[in-house]
Amino acid sequence: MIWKLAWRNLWRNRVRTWLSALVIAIGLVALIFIDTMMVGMTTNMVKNATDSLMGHAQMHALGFRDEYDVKLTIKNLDETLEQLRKDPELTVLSQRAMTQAMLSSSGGGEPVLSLGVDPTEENLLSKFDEAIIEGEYLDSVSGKKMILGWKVAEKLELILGERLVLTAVDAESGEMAQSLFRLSGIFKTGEEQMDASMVLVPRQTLQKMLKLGGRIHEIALRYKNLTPAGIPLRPLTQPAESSGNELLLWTELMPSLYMITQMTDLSMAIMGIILFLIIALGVTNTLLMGLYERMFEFGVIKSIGTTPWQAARLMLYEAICLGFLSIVAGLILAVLAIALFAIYGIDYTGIEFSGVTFQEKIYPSFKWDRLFIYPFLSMGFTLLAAVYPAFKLWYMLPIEALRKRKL
Amino acid sequence: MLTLRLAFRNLLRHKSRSLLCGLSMMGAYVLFSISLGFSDGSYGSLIRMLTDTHSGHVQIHQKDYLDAPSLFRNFKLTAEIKSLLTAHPEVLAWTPRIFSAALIFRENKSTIARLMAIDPELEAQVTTMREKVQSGVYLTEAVGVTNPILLGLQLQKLIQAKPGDELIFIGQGADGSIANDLFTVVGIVGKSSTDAEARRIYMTLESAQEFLSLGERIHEVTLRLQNYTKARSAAVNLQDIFNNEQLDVQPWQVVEEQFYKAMQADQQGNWITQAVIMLIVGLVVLITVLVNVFERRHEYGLLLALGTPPVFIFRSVIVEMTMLSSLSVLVGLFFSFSLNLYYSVEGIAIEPPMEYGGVLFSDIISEVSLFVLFVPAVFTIAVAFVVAFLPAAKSALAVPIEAMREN
Amino acid sequence: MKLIFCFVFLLLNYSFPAFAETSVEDLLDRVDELYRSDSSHAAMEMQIVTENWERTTEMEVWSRGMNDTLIKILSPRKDKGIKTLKRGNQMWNYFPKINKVLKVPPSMMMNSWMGSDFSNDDLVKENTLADNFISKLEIHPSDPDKLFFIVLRPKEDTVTVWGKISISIRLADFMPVEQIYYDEQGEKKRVMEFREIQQMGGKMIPAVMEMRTLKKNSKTLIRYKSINFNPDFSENIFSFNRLRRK
Repeated sequence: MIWKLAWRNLWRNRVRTWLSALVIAIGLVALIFIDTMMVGMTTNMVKNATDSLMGHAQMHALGFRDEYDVKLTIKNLDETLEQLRKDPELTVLSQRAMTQAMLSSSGGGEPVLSLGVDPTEENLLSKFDEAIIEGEYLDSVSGKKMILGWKVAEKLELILGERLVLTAVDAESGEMAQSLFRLSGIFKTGEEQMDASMVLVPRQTLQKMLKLGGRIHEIALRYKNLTPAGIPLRPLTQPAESSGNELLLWTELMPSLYMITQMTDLSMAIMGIILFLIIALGVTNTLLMGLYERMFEFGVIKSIGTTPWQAARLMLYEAICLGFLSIVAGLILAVLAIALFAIYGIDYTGIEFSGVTFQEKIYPSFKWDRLFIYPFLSMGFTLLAAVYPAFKLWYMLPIEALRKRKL
Repeated sequence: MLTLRLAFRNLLRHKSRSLLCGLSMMGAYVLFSISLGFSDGSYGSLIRMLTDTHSGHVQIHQKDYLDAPSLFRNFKLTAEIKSLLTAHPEVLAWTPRIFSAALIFRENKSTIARLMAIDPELEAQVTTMREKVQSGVYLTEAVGVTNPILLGLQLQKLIQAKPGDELIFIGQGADGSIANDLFTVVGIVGKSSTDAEARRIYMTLESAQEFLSLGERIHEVTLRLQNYTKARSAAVNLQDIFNNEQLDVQPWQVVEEQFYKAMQADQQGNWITQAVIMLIVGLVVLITVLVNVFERRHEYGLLLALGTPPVFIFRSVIVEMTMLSSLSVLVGLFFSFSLNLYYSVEGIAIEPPMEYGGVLFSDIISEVSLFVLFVPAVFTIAVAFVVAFLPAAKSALAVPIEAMREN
Repeated sequence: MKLIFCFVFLLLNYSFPAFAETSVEDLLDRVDELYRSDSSHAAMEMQIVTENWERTTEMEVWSRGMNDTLIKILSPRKDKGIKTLKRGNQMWNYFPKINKVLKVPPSMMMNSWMGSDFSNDDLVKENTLADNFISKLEIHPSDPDKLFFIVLRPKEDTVTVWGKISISIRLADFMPVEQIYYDEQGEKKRVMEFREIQQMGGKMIPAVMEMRTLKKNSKTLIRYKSINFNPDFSENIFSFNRLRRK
């Protein structure tokens, strides 16, 4: 019965009720919306990074990442590969040989990082073929084709099919190793580093040139089933210390990017607190107003036998009804706002942030759990805001209330 | 005057209600102010950290240097330039720099290192160079050493050198000669291998000019201004004063374009957040005012019935609401000032620190400024003022008998 | 490019006999034969002009066969005493000012030697003409009466960046006049000119070689001041120990 009373009481002052509901609703919408946008942004950035060369995780021999020493190849390759392939969450694996080298053409030379890959394997992971702007992607794990970034091509004024000589140091004796390649394609990824200093060649060719045998320097991995933050849900089995290899997630390989995802959580928290406080103000205001103006009335019902607890409950129920009303209104608005932005997105393309360049517009990232958490929190805060008024109602002496008449 | 006194008395008459409304408005104002404070403070501290650690506020280069940095795009640091800089009222301190690269050898290890040559005394006045030294001593304290250098942490790991060790530098002079000389490590810089410092070698200007056969030429002059917000205008002003086509003076926003763009993009997103907060604050004020006015319709009806001119009602409502909001804001000023002040000194720590545009940050702090304190104040009062119009009009134009029947 | 130095040593160590009729194969055979030639000791001057600076260096050069070479800089004062030693396909530098011998890391091999239009690689690599290039004798495009025109094209697999190299040789005395490096589109990229052909050390040689890199607007001019073919020097010249001594 108190519920019915509570609900009816709300409607006695429609304007006030609607306004309060509006405040709560808009606060809710704001939170949900900004949250989804931010998650959208970080997901975008993470995806950009991991969809490119990085992958979700990489394996190297210990010490390789310091100086990219060509001699530091992955230990026990076959066993290691077998171990990695056992993980059911693994979707793609790409093996790479790599070394710092000098690229020479008739137009001059340029220091580059050369990557020897199996094109089919590699393409599943980094989608280079989509980035090709001229010529073609590699087609075989052996042979003389080379693809490189547009900035290198521009600097050396390269033409497709042109002779290119790659000079590096071999892994066996540290002697100079050279090989001839032909430019078969030019790519544009949007990543400064890659476009200006990276070349891709068939893996076997590079292995032969560097006298590596079948050895490689890097294994890049992609997984399915990730957390919203882009981390594989199931923790990866780490190679033993003694194996001489290390397996690192992108979060450790690109710590700055990972930091951004953490950072947005923090800013969201602060924002949330501020918003909730403002909302609480609005709610408390409303409820207290309602309390004061009905002081006489409460005095009456208390003197005729309503227990303090029942009176307090009334206030709380009013708050709950208000909260409920607001949440419904808020959710509707929120869905609308998200839908709107899902169509238009926010455009940050071209901006480089923490080592990653935005390639596409940012779209809201819809997370069902958000739709529950925020309303839940809103209700919580509304209730919290109702505590003081309810308390007042609880201990108020009927005689004093009766004296107050109307304000 | 009478109006004001009446308004004040009216407010006092409904103490609880006025207090309640006042608190709501004050709360909204303070929260808005804090949110602006943190937002401004974050950006402010970002900028300060960037400019304090490396880029300074304004930089001077040879006109083509920023397009494509090169050893050969240098300029002479003439006595004229020096005196113009020292005499300029906006310039707090300035320091010259030289950039190059060399092959460094230690026993059988070698690597290519980027060099930055500085005037140790002047540099310490413009940036936090001195604080970057992690072990060993700063360049000014290297007594009796002919060619002292500070070695970056990452480089130290690669060639295993420590303070006291001698390194061989081989490079190319600006006159085509083969630069070769011995340098002694006196200190190590850089806290982690991802710091910008960790991959550089810092030497004195004299050493570099001798090594690279540069004579009196340098690549860059970095300035610290009295007020960093004036960077752009100071740059334009200096460019005029120098009156030299060969020189290019740019503010940090241009020199650190990547960072600036990222920050701007971020600020745009931030505006959306602030707009939302403003909306909520506006709504809270709206409710407060509306509630206040509507509650007193009975009273106004009575006044009208007694012959009070409607205009009077209208005016008094507006004045009361404006007064109430002004008083709330005034009291709120105390809180917003002290809270922002507290947070501007003791920020909220970010653990672990994050990298943004190449610089490391460890706290979020707030800022105290006229903008942060007064914009929300003005906004709150303005909203109260505007929002009061409709209810004021309604109250003034009400039919007395109906108004008296209200609640 | 390796070929320049092939030619340098070719010229230092051989003089073409005047045959009535010569085939390309003959010419190239001769060149190949010369790889097993003797030693020489020369004084030369190198002038480098780039967009940013200009420098003239005086050097003393000892060579033995195609494998060992020692270059010592005599002037300008700043670089005096710097030595470069090549043995096989490895290279070392000695710097008197700091008294250190440093092996040139392979990563630096493609860089230019002392800022000139020649690379360290040019000085060091073995790339025999006959084996790796297909040669053809053609009519000289501008001066067929006076000059041979040999056109060399790399085999498909030859590790080189050049699409074509052409050598112009005087009919009369087989003295080279010009060597041009083209990319695969046939565009000229580098031009080497041989001038001031004169008697030196008992042979006819071009005293001046000038290499121009067309796009960079830079040129390197080498002038021989004096040459001693088959000189008398002890084996030790090409040893490490000798590097540190004057």
